[in-house]
Amino acid sequence: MATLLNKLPNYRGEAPSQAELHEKREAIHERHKHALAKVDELVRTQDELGKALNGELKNLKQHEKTLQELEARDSDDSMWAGLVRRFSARSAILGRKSVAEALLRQYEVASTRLRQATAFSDELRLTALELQDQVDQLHQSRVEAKGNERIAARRVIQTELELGGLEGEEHGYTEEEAARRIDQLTFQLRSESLNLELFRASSELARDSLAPTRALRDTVMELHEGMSGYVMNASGAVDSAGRRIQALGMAADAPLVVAELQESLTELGTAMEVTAAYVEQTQRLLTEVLPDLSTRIRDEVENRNLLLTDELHVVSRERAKALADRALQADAEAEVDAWLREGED
Amino acid sequence: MLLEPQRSGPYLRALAAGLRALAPHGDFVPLAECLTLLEVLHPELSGDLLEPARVETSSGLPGFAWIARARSEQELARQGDDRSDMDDRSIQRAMELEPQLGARLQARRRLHRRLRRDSIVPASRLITAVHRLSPTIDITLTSDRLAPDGRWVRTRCTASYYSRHILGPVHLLEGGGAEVDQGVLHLFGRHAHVPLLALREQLAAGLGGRIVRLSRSSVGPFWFPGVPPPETAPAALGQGLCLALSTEVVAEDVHHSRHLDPFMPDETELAPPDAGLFRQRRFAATPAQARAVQDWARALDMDLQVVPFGR
Repeated sequence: MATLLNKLPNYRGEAPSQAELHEKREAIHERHKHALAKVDELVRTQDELGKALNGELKNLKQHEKTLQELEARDSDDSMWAGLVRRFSARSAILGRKSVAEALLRQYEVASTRLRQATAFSDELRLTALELQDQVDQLHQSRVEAKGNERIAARRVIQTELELGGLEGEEHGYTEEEAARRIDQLTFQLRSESLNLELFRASSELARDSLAPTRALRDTVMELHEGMSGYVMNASGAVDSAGRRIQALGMAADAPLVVAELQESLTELGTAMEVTAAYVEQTQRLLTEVLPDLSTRIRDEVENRNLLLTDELHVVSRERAKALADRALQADAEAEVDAWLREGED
Repeated sequence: MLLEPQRSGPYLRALAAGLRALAPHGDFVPLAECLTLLEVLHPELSGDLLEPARVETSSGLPGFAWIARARSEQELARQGDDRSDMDDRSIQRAMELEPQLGARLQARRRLHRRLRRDSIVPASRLITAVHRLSPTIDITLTSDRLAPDGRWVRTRCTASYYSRHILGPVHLLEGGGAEVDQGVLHLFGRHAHVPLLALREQLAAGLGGRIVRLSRSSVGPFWFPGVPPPETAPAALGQGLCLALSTEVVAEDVHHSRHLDPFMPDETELAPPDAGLFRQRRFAATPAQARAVQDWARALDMDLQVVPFGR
């Protein structure tokens, strides 16, 4: 039987030390805390932005009523209305002019808010990409740890077999040589058992961190998708209103322009409906999703603490053997599953 | 008219070159604000942040919504400072993760830093300045506006009062400045496009003073392939690049009325008895178009100024 004595394992990277694993765990925890705080801030900003935009679009739309009143007054054919119009023509013209000026100002406020929303949407995108990158890294880290766990498991089993042979009657060595080899193999077994434990812990750390990172990423993506869709909808309506408001400046008295402007304001109504739905969605994120995420991340951290502190301090030979068997068995099962799935496809 | 991203840069550079060639004076919207606007709209500075790049087909100048986006960015930029902009590390990270997003974030930071330094053409603004306090009180009102067809228009009016007790909507401030009632802004807005002599009457009635000088000057139109000149002008003007600047002044210190604008009617005879009327249109054009303007000037027997620029 080929001996493993003094043969170096071909792990991808080095086996992490217990301290390194703790550091890694802390780093992931910190990243999650930071990401959660960021998501919390993003959701709240989004909520404020959505509400402010809705308010500004409402203000812009409120001018529709004034315009309708002006037009109704102009189209009233009664004798009394004719008399009143003669004396109030100047004030009506002035009123319409003020509507145009006020609309222009309001348009600028709504437009600025939209630009703010656009910038915010880019910020959301960046946060989503960073979280996705973390998910990728966790997957990669898990695959590496799994591979190393498998190598360590094979080495534990083989060393155990070798050790069993030396502890038996027929090994072909002198008593002294056998004793020396037993000592070396025992040391190697302890080392590989610890490696096995550490790789397993590393793989589980990556696996357990995946779900909350994914949840954070999905929340940010939900925010980003909502914000992008909303910005696109509202931009179209506000741009269209802007063009017509500009035309109103040229022909403030033309009924055609007033009618056209009212059309734009109706378009704004659609944008407002989208905003209302959007604000509602952000509210749900604030009241349901965020608290749930916070709880999950807190639980995940607590569980991981238990896992690391309870299991890493003592590794007995029996436990190492059991762990190695389990790792290889899980590996074999995964392989069979993969074969079966392939067969189904 | 929608400009493709690869066309908007050359278009903005050409317009800026035309403006520099004509070097508009103080009766026009400030040249520095015009050039800053064209610089920030340029994709080299703002990337695709301010797109779509829509040009007004009647004037060939940047469209209202395109400019409004730049103005909104200026408003946002001025709510913060260079320290509150996105940091290098985040931009670098975005570049690694999604280059397009990184480029956008970098463009936004560049745009905001530029917009904090200088102003751009406003949509509507009224500036009040005291010109003289004795023996008469002379107030100059300057109204800048984006015309509905996209031209950048400045209307300037100097009203003279004999006493501070009859200043009407004008209020002198303790520090030496002055301000006017909000209604005056509306007055300018409403009458921004009525004929100049009628505007003079309206302003005299509205401001209650003697209008000693009134000018209205426009930047634009800017003709290029896709934005043709009016039918009364040679079609060749639209086959290259041609920027027109127009000014009209009715003032007591214009002693000899002159008419040098081929697009407006000659109304020198209608000038008020105490003032002269001066109208002029100047052009900056690429060489072939400049020659077309010179030929046209000879045909009209009108002294039209044209400054060649570009190749």
